Amino acid sequence: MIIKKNLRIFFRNRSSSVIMVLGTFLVLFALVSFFSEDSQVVHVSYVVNQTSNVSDNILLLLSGSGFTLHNFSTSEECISSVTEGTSKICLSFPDNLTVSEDYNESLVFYIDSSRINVVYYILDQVMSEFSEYSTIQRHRLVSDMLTAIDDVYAMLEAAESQAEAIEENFAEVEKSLLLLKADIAKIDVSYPSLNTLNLSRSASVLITRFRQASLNSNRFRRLSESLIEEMDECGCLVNQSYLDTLNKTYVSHQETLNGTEAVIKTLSSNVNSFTKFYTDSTKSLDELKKLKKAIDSDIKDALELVNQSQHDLASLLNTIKNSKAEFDALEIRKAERILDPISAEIVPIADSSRLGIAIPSVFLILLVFSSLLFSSSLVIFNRDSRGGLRETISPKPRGLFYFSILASALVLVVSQALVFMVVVALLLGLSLVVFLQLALVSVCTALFFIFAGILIGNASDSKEMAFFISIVVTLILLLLSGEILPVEFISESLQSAIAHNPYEVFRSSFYRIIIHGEVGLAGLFSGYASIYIGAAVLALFSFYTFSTFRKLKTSRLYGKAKKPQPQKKEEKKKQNKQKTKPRRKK
Amino acid sequence: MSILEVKNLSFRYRKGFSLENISFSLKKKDFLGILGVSGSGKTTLIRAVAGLITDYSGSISLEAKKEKIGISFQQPSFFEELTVRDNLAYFAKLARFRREEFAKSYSFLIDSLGLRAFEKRPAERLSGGMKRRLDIAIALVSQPEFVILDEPVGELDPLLRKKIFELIDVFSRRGCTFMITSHILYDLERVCNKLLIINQGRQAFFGDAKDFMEEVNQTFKTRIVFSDKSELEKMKKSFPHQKISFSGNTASMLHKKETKYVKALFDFLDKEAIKIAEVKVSQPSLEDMFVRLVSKEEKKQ
Repeated sequence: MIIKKNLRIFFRNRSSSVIMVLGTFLVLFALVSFFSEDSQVVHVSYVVNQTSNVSDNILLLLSGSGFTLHNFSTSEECISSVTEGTSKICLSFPDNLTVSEDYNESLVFYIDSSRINVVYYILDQVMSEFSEYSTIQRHRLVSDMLTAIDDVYAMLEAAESQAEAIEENFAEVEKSLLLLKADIAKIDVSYPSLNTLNLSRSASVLITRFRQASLNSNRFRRLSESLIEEMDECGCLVNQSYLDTLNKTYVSHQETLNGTEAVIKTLSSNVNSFTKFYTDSTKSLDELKKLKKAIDSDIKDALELVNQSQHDLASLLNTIKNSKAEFDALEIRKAERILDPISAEIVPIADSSRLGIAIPSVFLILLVFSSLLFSSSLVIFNRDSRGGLRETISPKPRGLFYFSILASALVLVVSQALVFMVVVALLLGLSLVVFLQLALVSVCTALFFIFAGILIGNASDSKEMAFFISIVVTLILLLLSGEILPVEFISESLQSAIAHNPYEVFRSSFYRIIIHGEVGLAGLFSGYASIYIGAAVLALFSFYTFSTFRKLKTSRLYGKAKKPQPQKKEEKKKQNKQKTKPRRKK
Repeated sequence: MSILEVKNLSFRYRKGFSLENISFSLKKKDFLGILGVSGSGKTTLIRAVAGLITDYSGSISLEAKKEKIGISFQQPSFFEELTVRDNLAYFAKLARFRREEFAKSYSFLIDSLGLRAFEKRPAERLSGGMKRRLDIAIALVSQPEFVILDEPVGELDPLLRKKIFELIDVFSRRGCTFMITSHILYDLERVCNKLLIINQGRQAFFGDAKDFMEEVNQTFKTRIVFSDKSELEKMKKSFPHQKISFSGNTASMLHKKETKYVKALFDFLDKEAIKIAEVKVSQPSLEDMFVRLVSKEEKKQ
């Protein structure tokens, strides 16, 4: 009974009960419609200046696995796409990425570590694709290496038989050479000593003397002839001197001839010796001829063996060269490179602490809730207060009360935010420019959600109803922002709506300011077009509902009016004649 | 010239209660007392005149600037979290009342209503009577030309009622037009020059208070208590009793002084020797007057 009473108090009126139920259904509907599709669109940015087969294959693999790839011409643009939230990962391919031993460049993954849940999910997916590609490469490399080893083994077997043949050949050569050595040893190179000097001298003396003898003979012949002539002519007696001379010449000639005879004897002896030597030499030469023939034969055999061995060696060399070439043909021979053929590096875009990463989300959630709850509570408080009743009949324009609520809520939220921001600035060491930017975006956020809060306050009958609506609204915004679950989980058709989700737009700004420290108003308010439109619509609606609902709901303090019942035509005509509009001095 | 003119005002709540064809007009400095029992439609009329109800039929013409209208609702209406002074200052500001004049008006009001000792106390910590006084002070703080007070003294003690009516009298003498609701006729008798009586959403009387009071003063209520019910039945059988109402063994009627009807009744009772236990003659109550006025109106219709 008490519970029933409590529930009745809680669900004071039908509309609040309906909202409580509808709100739950609304959240369920959002959940089902946002996350019903299993397919997902994961945006990955990449930059590749000089493509290669490997980079093309990796991109093809990613594209085939459902990733939506965005190409950028520079790393800066690629990284910006991550900071702006277009994609969660930027892949920077090194120039001419290849799988080779001497290629040391790495594939760089630029990630936004502030979106850790999304990033690691995507990184895991990308890395699994990348790992798959690496595995294929590893298999190929290992397979290539094993094939090369098999080939080399076969070649070495051939080389082994060739080496054995060479060994045999060399043994034959050795034999032949030993035989040659023996044959050479057999050659007698000794010869009888021949006094050739004496033979020469004797010959020259013989010749000289023979010449003298010849000359003397000639002279003798001439003298004799002269003598004979003179004797003939004169019939004189022969001059004694002539006869002496003739005698002397003759004696000399005789002596010469005697000398010549001795020389000839010596020469004869020498010639005999020489003839003997010659005969011996001829014998030796014959033997040498025989040996030469044998040596020639041996050398020929040895040469043949050497030729054969040379051929075998060339073949072996070729085998070795081929084996080397086979090994050279292997892309990678280092074990670590085979296991990790393409090296990858994960580089966080901004160096931010965990506290720094947590702050934007916490700050934004605080701002959203404060703005929604403060403004809706102020509306309800003013509306439900009997003091508010007086305000509705006061001469002040309604817009003044609307703006006073707006300003009051803004003061409250901004004061709260200011305390938060100062602490954050001290903790993270934010610069003054960044602090001011943070303040500017905070005011924009607060204003937007205060408009929404006023609207919620106007639509709600009680504070708890406004609180519940605020939670439902915030929950839907959170679901559609990737704060709770990654955006990539959201149905593809709804993903375009994320860009117009005020929570996501403001979150993006906060991230840019707090984590990336972005400076510049243009970048700060990028993607705010939908926010401006949304804020304008909310402002208009909140003002409209404020000015109409407030009076209606305030008047409930005294009961609810019933719609005029349909009157008979005649009565109506009569009344219309009588009715005059109330006049009030302003 | 009328400051307020209400013509054929009709309004219907969802729950079924309605106002029907209320018409009256007030001139400047008039003091209208709206009289009716609880739930008769006084507050609905006030709400319509204050502008809190707009979907009525008929017309309401109020020739007063908004800032010159002071209203005190049946339930105290101010911000409970603010102090007495802050509430008065805030609502004076809303009524575009000058700061210098406010100080004067403020002092006069809190002294007159005995709120000086509580001026810095949050309104939520005031007693019911003090809250009522604060609400009246808020209605009067901006020196309004037209004041609407809904049951201003309903739950207050006689001393305080007197105090508040004295204050109202001061403002009335300054030229302020008043519209006050009450269910106690004698509260209004002292201050009102006009009277509007509403019964079950219908206008029972509108006119000079003096005329009404005169009629009230000239009207008497006679109650005859019969010794037993059979005696009453005897009277009922033989005497035309349309003007008489019965309750148990009591018969009561309203009448002017020395009317023929009353004389005839007593003659009849005397002649028939009907036993009477008691006869009481008194001033009629407001309800009695309503019944009389309504029956008169019905007869007219």
